[in-house]
Amino acid sequence: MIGSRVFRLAWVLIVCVVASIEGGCRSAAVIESPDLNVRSTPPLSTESLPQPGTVTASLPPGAGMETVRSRCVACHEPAMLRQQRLTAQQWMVEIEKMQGWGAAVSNEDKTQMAGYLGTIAAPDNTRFTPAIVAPLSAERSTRNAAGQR
Amino acid sequence: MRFGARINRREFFDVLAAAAAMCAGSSTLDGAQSEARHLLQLSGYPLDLETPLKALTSYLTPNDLFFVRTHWTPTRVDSAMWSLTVDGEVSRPLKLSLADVKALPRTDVTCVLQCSGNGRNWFDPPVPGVQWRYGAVGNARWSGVRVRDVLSRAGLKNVAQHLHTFGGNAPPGRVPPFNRSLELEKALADAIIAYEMNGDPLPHEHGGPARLVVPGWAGDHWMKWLSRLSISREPQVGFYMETAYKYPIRPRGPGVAVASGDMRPITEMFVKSNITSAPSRIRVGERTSLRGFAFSGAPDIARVEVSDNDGVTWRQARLNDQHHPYAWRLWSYEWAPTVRGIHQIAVRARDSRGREQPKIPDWNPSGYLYNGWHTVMVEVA
Repeated sequence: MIGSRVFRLAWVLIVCVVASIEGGCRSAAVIESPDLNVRSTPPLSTESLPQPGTVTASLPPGAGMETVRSRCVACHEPAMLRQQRLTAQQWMVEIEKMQGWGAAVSNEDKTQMAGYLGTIAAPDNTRFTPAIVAPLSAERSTRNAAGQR
Repeated sequence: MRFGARINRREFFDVLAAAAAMCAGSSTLDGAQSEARHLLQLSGYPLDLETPLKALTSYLTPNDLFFVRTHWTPTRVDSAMWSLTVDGEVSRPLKLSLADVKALPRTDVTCVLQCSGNGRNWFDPPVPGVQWRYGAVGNARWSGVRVRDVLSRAGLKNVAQHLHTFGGNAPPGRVPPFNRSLELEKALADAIIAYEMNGDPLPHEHGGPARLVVPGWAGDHWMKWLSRLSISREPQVGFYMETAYKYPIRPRGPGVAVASGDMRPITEMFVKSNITSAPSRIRVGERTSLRGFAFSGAPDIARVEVSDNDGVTWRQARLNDQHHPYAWRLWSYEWAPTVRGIHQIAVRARDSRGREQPKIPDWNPSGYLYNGWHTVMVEVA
């Protein structure tokens, strides 16, 4: 237990040192929300937030990026791919599932795509954070639901 | 282990919390109160939004902050054009307009809706799917008509056993449709067809004009954009019944594949509690109120306990009086720390059927129903 606590405290110090190097704890532009790992730049106002459905993520460059972009993002926002933490083997299973469901993926594509996704969204992936967006608006929810009120 | 031999992902973020608290003097749970009301978007399309924990402090979760789960981008349904078909093993098949449905006896049900994948992010090893953290859950007052009142008008035949449900969320390509079924016994007991949520017309993102509400059962049964109920002798077939939304009958250990035949469909939620209010920093001698919510697939919560030493010792929290069957219980615990240092605050719940929230839940291949202890770090100076 003592060893574990010492180790945790060591991590605290390391994180603080890293934050200091990047511009000081208090002045750092990005604050990590601890339990949800949300990045935000306070202060926030609801008016300044993107509406739900706004695409905020993109695919990082790399071999296979174009193939993944052209085969996957018609149905899946890049954030859905970037939040995963899967091995190349697990990615292959997912790609083959989509292939079976009609995705235009050749066997040549599969290897390239699994390699790319297994790199940008591998089991040690910690780079994804959810986007902070505005609450749902009543107008958005009811604009095609005339007659309910 | 993804961060080395001695610290796991969860511990890493806990530690990060402590570091952030030391640096900025605030943590997520209390420091973010000055931030704007917001949702956390895991996918822009299909739309998947979770609620920040700090927004889950009220008995009823506001509609605009309630989590949203969609499989595909749904077609909006004009409520004037909407209809509900009732067919299958019934004497009198029905086609009901929204006005027809609203003409039936109205009922209100206040209960928790939780996505079956809520907490998937915390399973180790990771599994594919939306990586929900904590907030794919909320408590709302759902208003509509009892399923049994609709089915009694259709006249159930004696052979009826299962309620097949269909919604308006049409998938692309050869993706299988999200068709589901549940045992008729549960549907007749307390399921409703809801057209209002917290007193407002059911928002489109939440399945409006009408959705199914299945108290105590995970969200995969709560069919959105409900269009058809069909009575059958057998369960529904297809990917979303035979492959997805299934849970191992017996735990097989982390990362172990489980054959479909050794799994059963998800039904009731597991007992679970979360912390929604806690300071990041407090001084010895000061008092603070730790708060949160607890719920289960059982009708009520029997007990919530809080630990300030990562589960070594536990003290009972106070349960708020406000409650309906299958709704959550808000809890609070007055804490006055006496020892300096970094404290790991943990919470666990026990439900009215005696089931207790585990420290670490059994791993399952699709990452369903995570209900491990929720912990936050608090620095006591």
